[in-house]
Amino acid sequence: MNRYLNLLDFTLYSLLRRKWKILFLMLLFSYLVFLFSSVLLLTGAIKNEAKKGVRALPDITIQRLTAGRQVPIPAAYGEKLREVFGIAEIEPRIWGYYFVASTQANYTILGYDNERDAWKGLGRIVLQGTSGVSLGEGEAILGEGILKDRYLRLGQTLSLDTPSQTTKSFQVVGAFKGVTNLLTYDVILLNQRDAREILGVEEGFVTDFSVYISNKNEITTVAKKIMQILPGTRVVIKNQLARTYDMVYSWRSGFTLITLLGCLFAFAMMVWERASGLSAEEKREIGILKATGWDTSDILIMKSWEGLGISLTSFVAGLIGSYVFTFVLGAPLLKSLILGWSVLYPPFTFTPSVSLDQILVLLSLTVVPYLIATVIPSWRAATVDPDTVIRGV
Amino acid sequence: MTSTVRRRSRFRPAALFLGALALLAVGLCLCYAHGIKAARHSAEQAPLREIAVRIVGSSDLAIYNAARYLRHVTLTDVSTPFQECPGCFDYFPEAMSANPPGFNELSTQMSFGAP
Repeated sequence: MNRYLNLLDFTLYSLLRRKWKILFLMLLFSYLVFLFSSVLLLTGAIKNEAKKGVRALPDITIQRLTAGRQVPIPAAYGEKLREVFGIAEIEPRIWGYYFVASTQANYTILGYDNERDAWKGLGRIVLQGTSGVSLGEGEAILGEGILKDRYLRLGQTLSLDTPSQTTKSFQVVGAFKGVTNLLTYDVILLNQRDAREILGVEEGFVTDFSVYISNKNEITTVAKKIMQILPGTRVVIKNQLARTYDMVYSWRSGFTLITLLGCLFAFAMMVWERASGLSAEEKREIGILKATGWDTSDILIMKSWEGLGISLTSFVAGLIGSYVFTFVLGAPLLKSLILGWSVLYPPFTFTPSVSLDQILVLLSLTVVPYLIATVIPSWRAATVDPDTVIRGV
Repeated sequence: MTSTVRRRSRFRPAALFLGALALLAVGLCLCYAHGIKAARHSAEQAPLREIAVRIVGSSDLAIYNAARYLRHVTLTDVSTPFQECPGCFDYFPEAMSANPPGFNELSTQMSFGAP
């Protein structure tokens, strides 16, 4: 043990002779790790946030297409769906968007069905106002973003325009709790009849159907059956929705990482430069050590300490820095690149999500090449005759 | 010579280096503890989030609401880009790195932590 500590001491003294060069190298190393891991951590966290709700999604969503565009689907299709064996629940939904020109924001309007069992939990996520969670005509439950956007409080009135240019007023009877902001910040929950009127969805039609399957292993089979009995519909299964999150957020992180590739190439060039040969000073040092009785193994241990000391400490420092930057400071600047901006941005906290494979990828891209670039040239120099190395022949 | 030896034994670099490594290890442990605490808090809120997903019918995040065709990225909708007129200026929401002017003094930036 003492031998290794003495070797470590010697290595560190050797590094201290080149302290400014080593300090710059460690700063560069940490910065590279910091940049790449910040992008990966932020992307991982937002994907994780989006995927949290996937379990509660409907197993199948059915939309109707006409001329390649989605159009309202006849409510009568629900009766046809009941013929399909394996379907546990069918939920016709009325929903859509409402654009507000003054703030350039889009609200999401949802039709609420008081009778639907699955929606009985509404009271747990809503701060109630003047009435219970059953939503009567002329009443609305709003997301926090809309309350702020329209300067509204519980009990006040929200006015919305119908497609026929008439204005309809709704009493705000509840507000979604902040805990659901990421899902409900821009949502207006209305009675189904009111939602129809505001969105212009005719009687006998709904926006789409949500379908829940009894046996989750049969989702694909049931989806195929639905496509057979309801031609002209688009049948989307839950797995496809989950994969979308990977694509949507991965392209943004990929784009950002591409812009950072220059840093990685610069680092790779520096490593390549080192791997292609030691400096004359380093060669002379190895030659002197060999001449004074050091074994090749001692020199390799010393150089391994040097490589590990520089790369591992820089790596861990960069990793800790990126964690604090992303999850404590909120990734200033970087969040604009990864998340963009919007009119109604919900305030929320990301749950840290660090996966081992992300760390291993970074480790293999930075620490491993650096270690190889330190040890291999030293091994080459250590196996040459000391006299030749010292003379620099 | 004696003073040099003394100074070297007092500031043994290996001890300083191992001390620095220990500090980094403590930093990693603190990050881990922070992550565990945040994950526990998130798990407590999971049932409420699931109710919201069930009611909204989608787990799409409400962070892109300046364009209809981007609010629900997993579902197609009746909206398309440039739908007001061919080639007309569209309400495109997610510019990279540039922020929009504030509307009604609302925050247009994602904020982490307390609003």
